[in-house]
Amino acid sequence: MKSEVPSPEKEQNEGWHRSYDEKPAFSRSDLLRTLEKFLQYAGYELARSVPIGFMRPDLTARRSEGQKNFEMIFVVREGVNQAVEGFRELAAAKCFRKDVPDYVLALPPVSEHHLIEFLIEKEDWFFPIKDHQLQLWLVNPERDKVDCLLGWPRDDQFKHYFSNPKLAGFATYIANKATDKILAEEFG
Amino acid sequence: MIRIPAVPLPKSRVFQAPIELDELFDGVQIEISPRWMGQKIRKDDMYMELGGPKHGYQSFIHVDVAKEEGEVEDGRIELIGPDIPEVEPGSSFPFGIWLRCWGPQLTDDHVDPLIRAGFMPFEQGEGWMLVNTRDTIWIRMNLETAHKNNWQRMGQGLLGMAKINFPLVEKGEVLIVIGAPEVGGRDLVQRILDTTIRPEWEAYDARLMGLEDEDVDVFYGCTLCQTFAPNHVCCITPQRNPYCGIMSYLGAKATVEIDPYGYSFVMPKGECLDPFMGRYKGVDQTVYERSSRSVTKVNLYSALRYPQTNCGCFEAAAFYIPELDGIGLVDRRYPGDTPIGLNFSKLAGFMSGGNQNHGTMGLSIRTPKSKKFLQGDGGWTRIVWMPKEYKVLLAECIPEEIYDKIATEEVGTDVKAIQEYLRKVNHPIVTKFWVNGEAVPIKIPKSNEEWPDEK
Repeated sequence: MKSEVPSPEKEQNEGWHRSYDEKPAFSRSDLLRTLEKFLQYAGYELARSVPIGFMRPDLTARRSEGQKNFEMIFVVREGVNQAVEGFRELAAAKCFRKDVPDYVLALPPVSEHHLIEFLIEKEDWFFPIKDHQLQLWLVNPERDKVDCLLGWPRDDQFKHYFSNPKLAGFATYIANKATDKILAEEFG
Repeated sequence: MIRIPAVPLPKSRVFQAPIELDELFDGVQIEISPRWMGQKIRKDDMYMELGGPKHGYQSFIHVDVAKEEGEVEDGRIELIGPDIPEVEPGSSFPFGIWLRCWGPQLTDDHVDPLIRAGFMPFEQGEGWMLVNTRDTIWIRMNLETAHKNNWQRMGQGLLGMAKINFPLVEKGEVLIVIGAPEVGGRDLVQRILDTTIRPEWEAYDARLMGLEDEDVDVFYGCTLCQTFAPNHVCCITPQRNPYCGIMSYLGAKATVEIDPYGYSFVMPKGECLDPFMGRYKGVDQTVYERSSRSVTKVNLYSALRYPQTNCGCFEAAAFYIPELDGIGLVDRRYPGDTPIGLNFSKLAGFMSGGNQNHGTMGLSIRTPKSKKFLQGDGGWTRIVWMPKEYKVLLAECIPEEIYDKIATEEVGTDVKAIQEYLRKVNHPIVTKFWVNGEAVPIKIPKSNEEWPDEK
């Protein structure tokens, strides 16, 4: 029997590594500027980004509080279409570092619908992101707001600085959508 | 003390959790933080599994509100069945966890948000996975953090989170039933569910379903999704749940009570300008103020004229089909094309983002169960197409005389074929909306534009 082979275009637009119909709302430099301002406001010192193995972060930030030291590695990208590449950079950094800083991908306020498709419906990036404890933040330069969408920083003080800390509950929303996939994986 | 008159409970162990505020989490060894939300614990990494598919979804998490202060022994944790360190790695049990709370201002209306607040040690606990709610609940704990857990500490975490997340809770106790064979297994859990818990859920749901928009003084709004869709404002009324399906009207009410400056807020109804379309002066004003002054009018019961804006997490959608002058419905799970040539993904991409897109409306799975569902557009008599599976899911709320007349993908997605079908089955749209047996399309204004007759 002849099996149906999806056309390259169909494959690109429906499956993994699909291309989302989006136009960047903000440039990377705008996002970086807003993120830097936000981190400084939250008491972080910005450090010169040095290469970590195969990658070089867009931004590194540190803060100390008593005995606690917090360090964050940021990769900044302009939209969902660059998110896989951004997470890959963070995963590469995590391979090299033996300590446990926070690894964050910062995006502009992307379409929620695209994000749902990226994380669970058309692709399955939610699980690798959670398994490796990577974080996803959304940065809005127009409104000067930053929110954490997936994961949560080790420095819990961020709950006073994010514009909407409850947004982190998005992970539960996605996880509930993932139930069918967990079932399929384990029960066939 | 939680007692279940209909079911004699086996022997239990009782622990006491600290009740002073600054000691609530003393001894709890796992981290409870949003960092751990949405974790997935695979079978091979699991120390213990509770509920879920293996047990036919015969388990429960439940919260009730005590009427009298004396009905709650503050800090009491009662365990029936084996403790966590006593079970073999890889064990799986049906289970039930019942959290009872009391506070002078606490009412049954608070049950929905209390479940989310109280059960955070599972939802946000290091090494725990929580999926679903009520009797479809499915929990796992991983091997790595098993040594940090026992039921006394988890019970303490539950009570602590209920108190700090929900300041109206002054006292709380918890009953934990692990349905191991030696205490009665699945039978024990199922008897508690059937005799006591399910009737309580049914009563709560009936009360919620019975509420009409006219019965309440205020509506509620939510802007949680403005991070994605900066101008989107969700209107929550007894007959309109939010699209995402995570909250009910009573849930929104309770959320505002405990966090009046949060993302949920009171939406005064004001004067009712059009009861048929569901237009209220207070809703228009609030939406205008909270949508960066971009949306001036909202009809609660219409997808065609001035519908509510959409974020992106809606579970289903209503969309106008010009060639049929009718409305189609599609849910997220349906992968195929709709009669307008778009699949759900493309349709949702167009609809989402916080614009007012006349002719489309996001829905929660439950929205079509509302008595006023699309009333302003003709209600069910205007629905002409929907995926078969979604139709079956909504069978109980679709009027019997229309059910078979709504086309599905089995009829096709070609509008001509659907037109023929609607004529053949004598769908009410043919006589109520079509002119001389032909559909006359309405000219839908562009996003955020006004209808010509209202300019």
